Amino acid sequence: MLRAFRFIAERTSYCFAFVPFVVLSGYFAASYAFFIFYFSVESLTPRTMGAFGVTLAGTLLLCTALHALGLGVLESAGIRAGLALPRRINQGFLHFQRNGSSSPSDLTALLRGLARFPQYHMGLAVGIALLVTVPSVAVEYVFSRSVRHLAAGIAGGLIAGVLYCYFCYVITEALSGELRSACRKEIARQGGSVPGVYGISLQRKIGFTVAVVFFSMLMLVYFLVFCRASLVLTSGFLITTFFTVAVLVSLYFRSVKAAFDEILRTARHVSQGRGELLHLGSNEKELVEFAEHFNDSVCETIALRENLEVQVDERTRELSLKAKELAEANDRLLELDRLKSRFLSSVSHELRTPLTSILGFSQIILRDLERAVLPVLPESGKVRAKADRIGTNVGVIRREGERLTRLINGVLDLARIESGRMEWRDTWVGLNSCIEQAVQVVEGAFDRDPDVRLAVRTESSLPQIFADPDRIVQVLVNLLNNALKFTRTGEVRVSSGKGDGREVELAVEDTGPGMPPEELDRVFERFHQVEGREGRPGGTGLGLAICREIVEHYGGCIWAESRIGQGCRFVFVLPADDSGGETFDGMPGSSKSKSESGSKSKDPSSPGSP
Amino acid sequence: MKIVIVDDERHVCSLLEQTLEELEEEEGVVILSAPDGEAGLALIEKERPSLVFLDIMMPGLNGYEVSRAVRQRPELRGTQVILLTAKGQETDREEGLASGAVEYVTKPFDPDRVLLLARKLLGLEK
Repeated sequence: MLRAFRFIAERTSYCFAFVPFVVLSGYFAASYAFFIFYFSVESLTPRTMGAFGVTLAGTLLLCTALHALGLGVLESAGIRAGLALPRRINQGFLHFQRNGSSSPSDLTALLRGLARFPQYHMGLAVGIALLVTVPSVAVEYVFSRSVRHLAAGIAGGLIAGVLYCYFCYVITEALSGELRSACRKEIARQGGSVPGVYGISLQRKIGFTVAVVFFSMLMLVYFLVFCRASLVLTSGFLITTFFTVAVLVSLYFRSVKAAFDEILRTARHVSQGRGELLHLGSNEKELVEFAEHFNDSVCETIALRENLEVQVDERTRELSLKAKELAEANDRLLELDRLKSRFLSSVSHELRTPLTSILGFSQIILRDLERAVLPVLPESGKVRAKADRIGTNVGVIRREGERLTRLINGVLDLARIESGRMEWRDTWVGLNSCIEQAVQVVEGAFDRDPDVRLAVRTESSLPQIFADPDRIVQVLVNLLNNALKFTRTGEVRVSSGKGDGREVELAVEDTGPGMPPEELDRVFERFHQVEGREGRPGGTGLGLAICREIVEHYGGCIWAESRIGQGCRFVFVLPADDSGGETFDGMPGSSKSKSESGSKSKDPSSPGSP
Repeated sequence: MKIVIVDDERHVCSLLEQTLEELEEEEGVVILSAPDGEAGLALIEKERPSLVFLDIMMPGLNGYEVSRAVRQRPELRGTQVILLTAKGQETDREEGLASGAVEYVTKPFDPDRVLLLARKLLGLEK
């Protein structure tokens, strides 16, 4: 049907292409009316039949001619009264179809015309129905002089008129859907806003269609039950009704299906991220409004997406700027770090050089004093006392110089650890050999203090750890010196053992005054001094801080345990290699006391003594 | 027997001289000193000492370079070099020993130990 319509439209004019379909629907409507009329009257005289047939045929011919004349011939003859709408539609169609493109305003005008076109055809149908019905009914009344015939004729005419209007409307709307859709697409393509023009609402259309179908059924029942009806006539009515209903329903469902297909296709494209708008050929109010809302949301989504893209671009730009800034900042930091290292290196050199002189000359002075001056001085007397005092004072200078050296070393160590420039010469190492080395380092200091003895208790078969032995020795030496510093009399004991699971544990205990619980964490802070805790002079306040840095570098932890008056116990654990066994590293056995290696013990009951 | 001290710090030279004074007095060792790398190398080449105390950070030729130069001279085969420096990093020590020095002593040093070391290297142990 659409193909036929297109064929005619392309060869004549757009509006003329409707004529055959409108006439066909007129034929159906008239047939319908005829059946109603015929069944309602008892008999028709042959003259009436003849007159009716002639009138019907004549009016049908007239309809066609009127349509033809009205929409095509009249126009070409220059008679334009009442033809403004079809003319406008024809011009718009020609312009759009043949010239390729039209401006959005022309297309909008065409769309508005198409929206009004079904009503225009309805008006035309009313006129034609009147033209057909009035003469037919009048002729029948003249011949029959029957009021019943008159009433039946009027009723049939009314029904035929209403049906004809409806058929015209549906057919026009269905056939013009394609052009309507194309117009909407083209307007949207050109960036114009699609006008919200529409015809009768879907609800009314569906209601009327259902009503027509029901009415046909009722009529059928009425004729079959109450009227005399020959088989031929009944079949004729049935066929007419069937064709009417089938054409209407098929047209109607085709347009609805086309609309839903288009909705589905567009929705699928939109969900795939293609910003496509919905352009329905439908003229129904609800569908047009739906398309408008749908397109509004699609436009909104597109705008949001574009906005999002702009935002993403902007954010990306900001991020790359930030990344650049960070890279520059990183370069500056690296440069600063390099300068810091150089500075530390210089400071180290510059501080060590004068310290070399201070310490070295102190020692030379002491040596000269002992070897050259003191031997020639009397054992007592003022000069001897002064000379002794010089010796004592130079000793102070030397010890303080040594302390300053330790302090510098400590600061440098901490700075190196923090800046990641510490050299960690990690290797598999046994803890007991570290203890042995540490003991060797502090032996001299313990030897000078006869009241404190050093006990060593190590466990054999300890797993090895992967660490820099010098750093582990450094931790142990710091802890041992610290313990010695705060122990007046008694014992400092260093011990090793297996910790929980894959750890090894080292502990340094003393019999010093201990410290309050709140100090246990703070002792690892730099330059922290425990209040009221008196020790020997010479501490730097950095030893325990360095210990913590080193132990934590190896993933271990260090802590202090103490109670006032009961000494301190510093423990650190390090993760160990649990696969291999230990290693004999020089200090086997369960316990080895420093007293074995010559220290003077004044506490034979110590658990560390043999 | 001769010992050459090369250090740009006058006080350190003096300290070393006084530290090693005992060797001069008791063993008749001659102690000479130079204030920088170039002068030090010239002095070493001229005097061919048994022992050289060499600072590392000096203007001009640094200690490593002087040590390497000493190693490369066949006539200085009998000269032992002790690097005496404020550079205390392990890598510095390794570089020092690689340059041909026999010992690497960090400042500040213990004069007694340095004296012992010198005696040991010169074969003059008591």
